[in-house]
Amino acid sequence: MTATLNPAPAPAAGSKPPKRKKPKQHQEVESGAGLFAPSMMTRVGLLAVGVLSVFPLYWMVVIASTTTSNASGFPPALLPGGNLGRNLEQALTDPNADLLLGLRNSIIITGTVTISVVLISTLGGFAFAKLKFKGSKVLMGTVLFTMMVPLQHLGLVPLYMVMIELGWLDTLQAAILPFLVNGFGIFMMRQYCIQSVPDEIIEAARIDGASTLGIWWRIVLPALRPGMVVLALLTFMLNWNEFLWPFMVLSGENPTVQLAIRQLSTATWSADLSMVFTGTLISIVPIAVLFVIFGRQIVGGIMEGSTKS
Amino acid sequence: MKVALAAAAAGSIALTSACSGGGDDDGMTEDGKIQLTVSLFGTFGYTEAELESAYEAEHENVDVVFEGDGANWDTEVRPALDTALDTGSGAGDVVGVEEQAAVELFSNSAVWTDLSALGHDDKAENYVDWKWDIGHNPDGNLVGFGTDVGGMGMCYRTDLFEEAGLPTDRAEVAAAWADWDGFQDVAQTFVDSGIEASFLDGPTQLQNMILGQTAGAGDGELYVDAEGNLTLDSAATTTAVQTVLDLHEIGAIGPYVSWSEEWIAAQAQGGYAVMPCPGWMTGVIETNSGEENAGKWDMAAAPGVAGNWGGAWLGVPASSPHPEEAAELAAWLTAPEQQVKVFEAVGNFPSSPAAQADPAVADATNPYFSDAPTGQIIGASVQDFPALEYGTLHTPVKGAVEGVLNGLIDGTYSADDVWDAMQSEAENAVELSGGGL
Amino acid sequence: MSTTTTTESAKGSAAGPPQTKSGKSVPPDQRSWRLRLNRADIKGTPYALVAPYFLLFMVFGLFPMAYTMYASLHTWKIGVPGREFVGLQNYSFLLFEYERFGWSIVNTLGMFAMATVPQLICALMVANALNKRLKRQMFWRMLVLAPIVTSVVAVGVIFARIWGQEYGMINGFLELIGLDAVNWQAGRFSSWFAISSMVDWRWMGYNSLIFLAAMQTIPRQLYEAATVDGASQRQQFWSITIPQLKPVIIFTAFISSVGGMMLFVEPMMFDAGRLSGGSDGQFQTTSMVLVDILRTHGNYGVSAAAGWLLFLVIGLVAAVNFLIVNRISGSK
Repeated sequence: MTATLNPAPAPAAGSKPPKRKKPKQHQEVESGAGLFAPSMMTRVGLLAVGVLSVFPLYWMVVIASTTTSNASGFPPALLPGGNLGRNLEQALTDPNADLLLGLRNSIIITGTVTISVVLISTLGGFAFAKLKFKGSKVLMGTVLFTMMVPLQHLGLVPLYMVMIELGWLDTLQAAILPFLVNGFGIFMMRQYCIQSVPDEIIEAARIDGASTLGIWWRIVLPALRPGMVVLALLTFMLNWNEFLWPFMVLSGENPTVQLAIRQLSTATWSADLSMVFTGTLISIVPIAVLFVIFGRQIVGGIMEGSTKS
Repeated sequence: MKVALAAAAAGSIALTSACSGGGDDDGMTEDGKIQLTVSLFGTFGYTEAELESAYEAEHENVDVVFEGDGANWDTEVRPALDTALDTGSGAGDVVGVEEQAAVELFSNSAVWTDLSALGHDDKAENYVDWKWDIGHNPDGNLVGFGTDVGGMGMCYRTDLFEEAGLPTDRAEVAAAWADWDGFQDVAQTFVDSGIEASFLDGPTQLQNMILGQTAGAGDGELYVDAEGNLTLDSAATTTAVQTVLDLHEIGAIGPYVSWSEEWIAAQAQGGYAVMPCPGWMTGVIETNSGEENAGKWDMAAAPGVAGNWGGAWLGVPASSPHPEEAAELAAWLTAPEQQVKVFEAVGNFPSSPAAQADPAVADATNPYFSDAPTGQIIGASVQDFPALEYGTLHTPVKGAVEGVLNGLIDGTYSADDVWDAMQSEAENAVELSGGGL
Repeated sequence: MSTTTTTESAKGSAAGPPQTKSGKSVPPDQRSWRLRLNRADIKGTPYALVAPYFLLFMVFGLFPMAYTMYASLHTWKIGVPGREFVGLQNYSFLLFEYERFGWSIVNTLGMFAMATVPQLICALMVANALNKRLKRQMFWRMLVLAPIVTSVVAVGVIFARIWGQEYGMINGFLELIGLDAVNWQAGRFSSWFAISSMVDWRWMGYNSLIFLAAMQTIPRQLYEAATVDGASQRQQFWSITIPQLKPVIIFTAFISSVGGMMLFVEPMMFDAGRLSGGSDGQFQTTSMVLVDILRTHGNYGVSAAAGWLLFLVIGLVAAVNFLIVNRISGSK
């Protein structure tokens, strides 16, 4: 349960160590641009991939701005209509699914999880990267192992029962608690810490009499800030999309945004497809905004995570 | 720092639990009113009929909250209710129970408030007899008030019927399919016309309708008997499934799985012409088909006329902190006057004889359905309809049977495989849900 | 882990940086106290730093796993009082009686293979393309990554429409060019295909960025030397790029297999939010069986057994996966 594993979302731990120090982001874009000029085929192929990547998203906007009967006929609507406002209003006020409450709950849940994961990961990552203590190798191995075990499913039944016993069904803490720590976060912060905090600075601080926590606070945290941003973004995105566990412990009365869309799309009484798509559109807005603002960092984070080990 | 972290974590948890929306433990609102949570699946029409404000106006110290809008009984509400009743918390003050699960859920006296002990055993005349009877559990306690009954008609598309050369007038249609043989003849004519649409939406609703009708007219046996033994050879089950097989053989059943997106889309697109129609289904069709299809749908009496599908009871869990007030609310919600209001708002057909006789119900017509006299058609179908006892395990077995029938339509099973597949799927369902494992 | 002492030291240090400069005017006894504190800090604090992770992991990871094992050996049903030890009966039911379970493993493996293999190949090709001298590198990278902003549920909603039988876009095109519409949900392979498309669409770009990053660390001298030797771009891709990427490919395939074996939301949304995975469970994954037994039937014991069986299968798949990828990328 603690390791938020999703299909393929982790950096490549087994990748080779880089042959040279990683250049800064914008330099990397130029220097890494490859050795070969792209052929026509390459360009066409990439364009096709790009179109395929964006088309379903585009189509969602199209349907969200048109009417249901346009959505289910053939040929399907391919140009946006003028109905977005009406659909927005309907989706947000639909009695079947409380999208606004879902958005709020998702923000609370994902925000709490993100803060916790980032803080706990910087603590542990720092310890594993820079401190010598007995058993650190074994413990780090355990962390790596937990990244790969499907605790989500092994823990599902008992955690569900525990939440029942505690009377926490339908409360947000039930959705939050199992996700507070994440092996991937520890691993990632360890990699960043190895790279960005020179041993000499820590030694110097020790000679000055700084305590371990003092070093973490005054030296490690500032140095890790860029890595923390990336970890926070990735954690936020993964947890925003979490479905199974909230589906178990929350209900339509107190949903996350994902549960609200499911409800919107499968509720017995609502069949307004364009409204469903509008709800879906609303649900991805927060992530899409993050993506547009921090796209560079997200791309960089995914790529760096894979080569930093 | 660690202390601060712990404090932050604790704080955030306190914060989240504070805004997690659940009612207070003592069931009181902040301004000292008694909060009564009514936990339903869908709205039951109560929201549409504005019963919340009406009740609160009469009872100033009560705050009524309806929950469960848009929730699916089988997949969401039922599992949650099982858990809540099992643990004695979170079930709400008034709970809607679906008819096919009523016997099973009500049988456990310990988790329900005995409403007769609270002085409600004088309300028998408010409900048809069988509705009142099933509200009593084997121990003789009154544990539930009946809401609506699922009287049935048959909805059909007049435009598609006309295209297929069938009569469109509802009296003629009803006469043509006076019994199920007639229904098959109509289906045959429809299919032979070569029209592009399907005759019937899918297999499951028809199966459900015939099952109830046959059992009601006969020995009452459905899929499972009271001891939990499978009775897939009962008259009701064999008749229902055989009719589906016959209709499928002539190609009259469409590929639309009930409640799927395609099923919903097909209502607007004219994908099929006929659909079994409990009173509450008219609201569903109207929403799904939209204004542009107004007047294309109509409703006629169903083959064999009698039918019942849907309908519910309201019970008060023993865990409610305010059983007396909750019982009063449940009785009020199901009283004849409110049943009439609900019918007017969404079409759920009253279980109260007085409400059924009310002109607002008996003479009701539905403008969306070409002014069909829905009150009269549906009222006739529930006249003298006997109680059906949906035993324990009915729901899981129903799921197994419906899965196989959908598989027949999509080609997973051949007609010859159907009975074996149903038997084995049903056995698994019984084993998983019953006492076996 | 000596939590008490570490918390002490944590408090001590949190009280602020030491007042005096390295021991100049500190009396001897205070110095030894500080020394001891310092030693405790160096020895103990690391454990305190990793403790939150392990404590929370034990509560929400380890304990549930053990508890699942316990539950899987008992009859344990909602609404039925009493638990009875039944040994491996729940397991044998799933393995030998409940056909849906066996099929769910077939379905899960099938969809995993159908989704992962083309996905990783496409990702490699896209990464290779992105590794060329392209303008607006960041634009292209964000473009292929864009699907990741969509939640799984949203993907399910959109793709269910695209693959719909009567009113779906794909079938519309098939009929337009004179082919028969396919009931994608009805068949085993067709439904796998549709569901795989959801997984692929969402994750392909992500994996290609990971491959791209690894490609950029390959020393360019290797390519220059190969070019001098007259190797074509395609030959270079197979003889240099792929072997160099081997560790990344293995890791990605491994993580994909763990994720793929837990496939749940896509097939559920493909069937209008139901857990039965089609009329005959033709696309019901093991996760769906697990949740179905838990939610629809309220059977904790069997559901827990399904959890452990799934775990074993994942371990097996991961191992096989490792061997295969190792073999393939090693032989090239």
